[in-house]
Amino acid sequence: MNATRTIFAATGFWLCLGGVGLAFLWHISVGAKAIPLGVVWQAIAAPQVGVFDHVVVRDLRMPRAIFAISVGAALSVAGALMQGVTRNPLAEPGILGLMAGATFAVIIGIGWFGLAGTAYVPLFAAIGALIGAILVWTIASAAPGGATPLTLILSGAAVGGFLYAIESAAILLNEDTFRNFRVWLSGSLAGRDMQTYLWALPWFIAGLIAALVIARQVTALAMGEETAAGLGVDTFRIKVIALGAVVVLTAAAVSVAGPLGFVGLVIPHVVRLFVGSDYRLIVPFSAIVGAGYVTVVDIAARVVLAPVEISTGIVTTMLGAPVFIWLVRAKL
Amino acid sequence: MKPLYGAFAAALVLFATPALALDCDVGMRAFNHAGGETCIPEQPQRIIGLHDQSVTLTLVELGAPVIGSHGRVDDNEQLYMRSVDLLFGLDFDSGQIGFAGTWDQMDFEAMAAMTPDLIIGREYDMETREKYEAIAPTVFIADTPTDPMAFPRGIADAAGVSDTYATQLAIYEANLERARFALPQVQGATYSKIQGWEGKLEVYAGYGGLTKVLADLGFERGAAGQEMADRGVVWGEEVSAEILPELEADYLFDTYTIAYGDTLADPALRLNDAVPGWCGFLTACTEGRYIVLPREYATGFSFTQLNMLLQMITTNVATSAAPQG
Repeated sequence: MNATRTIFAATGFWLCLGGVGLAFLWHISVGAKAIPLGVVWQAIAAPQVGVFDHVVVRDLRMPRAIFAISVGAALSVAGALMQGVTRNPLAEPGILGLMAGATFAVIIGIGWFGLAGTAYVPLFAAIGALIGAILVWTIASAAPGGATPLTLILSGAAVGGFLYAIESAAILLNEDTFRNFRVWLSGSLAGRDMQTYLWALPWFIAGLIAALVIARQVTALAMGEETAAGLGVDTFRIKVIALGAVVVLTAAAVSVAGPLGFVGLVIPHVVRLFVGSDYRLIVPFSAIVGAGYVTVVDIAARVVLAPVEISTGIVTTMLGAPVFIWLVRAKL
Repeated sequence: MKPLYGAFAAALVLFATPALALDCDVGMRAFNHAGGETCIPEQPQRIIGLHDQSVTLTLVELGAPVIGSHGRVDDNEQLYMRSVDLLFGLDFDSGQIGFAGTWDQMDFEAMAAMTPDLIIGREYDMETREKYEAIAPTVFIADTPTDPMAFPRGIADAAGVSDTYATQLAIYEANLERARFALPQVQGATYSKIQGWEGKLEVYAGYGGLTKVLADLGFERGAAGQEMADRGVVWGEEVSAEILPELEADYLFDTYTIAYGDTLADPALRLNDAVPGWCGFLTACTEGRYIVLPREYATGFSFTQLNMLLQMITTNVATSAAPQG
């Protein structure tokens, strides 16, 4: 990157980071209950026990805003990596089976093994995401023409549909055991407990660091395997690290919020419009913009029909589906 | 012109007649229900209930001949009929009632094999009405928020046990009179039916039999519940935990589920997951007027449940401090 571009990128990064900060403040300032900004500030700076408005800001809104930021960043970076490594503009954890695998594994882990609220939830989600990814890749590779964007999408839809059918059957056949999954399955940041988030936090951090570390090589991979190899990139190693990062990030996001659709698809494309095709910029900008996006979407989920709340995943899907259709028409 | 008038009148009679009354076979009668008008047996002998804790429970209580029912699968993968097992000790192993499937997964072949002469369901079950109607005459009873007893009364009517229903109703009304006499403090007292679930807050406009008993006793809904009822919400809604203080009322009611192995402390803990320290923000709770009741008794309209609710509410309210002002 030349000096001018670096200055632009750095300025843009700090502006976006400031935007996320503003989104965070907006998130904790608005909601079903109108709380004056002065009280919001008081709740942050000098909280008092027994003041309900302080409880709302500190115990309800702030954790949720933190979850939104983390989940948005994780899914966006996962999507960016997938699109770069597979050179598939439609790649993202939801479409390529990782989210379905992670969701399925969490349901099995909690429903049948009683792992709710334990450190095993992200682990189960990661195993599920990995199996989901491998299944989708294997099925797509076996198709005539191999793992093309189209066969990957079809394979992802098939695997997702299959896992969803098993989930539905499990829930229908044992509604008592699975009664707690109703809202989580629609992708929700409401009512998530901090303990689960803390268990997922190391996974978030590890995934983001890995993504940042391999960003330069992903740029080369996005130009084609031969080009990347010619530039001295160990393509197999980078693919393995990228897969690991994607799995870890998806698992952490699903553990906290359930399946939030299309975040990993929309954000990298938006970011690419502004920063180009260099993954050293796409990865950090996807993290920041994704964090801000889910935070703002969650504000909408909380206030549009207040006091009734809608699942954040419903809003992300409503916003992401048209982008997906546009991408299919434009790039497939 | 006269012959034309005559032909017109004859045509009117011809087309209007079928709409006036259904022509049923001997031993059958026309029955009006949420799905229209259906010919059903005057005295059904083999009835299947499409929902355990509402339809089947009422049928069992009123002594109707139930041969099959919707059921559920518990944590141990055992089949059961919620509330029916608890109130009447009946399960699918007793041999009296056959398993007809779970919600959204009804076993139509098993139902047909039971050779029912009447199937009774709720309005929600109408989606697959053709399948039920292929097995036996089927009626769907509507849940009417303005007249909660219309549901059990409709079931009793369809099952031909209206006399038993009337007797049970008279017993309940006598019990109600005694309870109202014992609880003068609840006349016009407000209540909120709240519940924590998956870290979220739920508020109810209606909660089956509980809503009826509370209204019969003289309670009135709190503002949030009333606003929902005015919007036509039959049960409840998940709301933002931020509106907790708006749910303040003279009394708070919550439920626990015996079938889930809940303890009496669980409802309060679930609310705590939604709003940490919730109790401290509602006077009714801090002053001891947060009352928890078993869901198995609170949701149904069977007289066993209604009478039990009357007793539980009477005891709880009588032993709690009356609201100030």
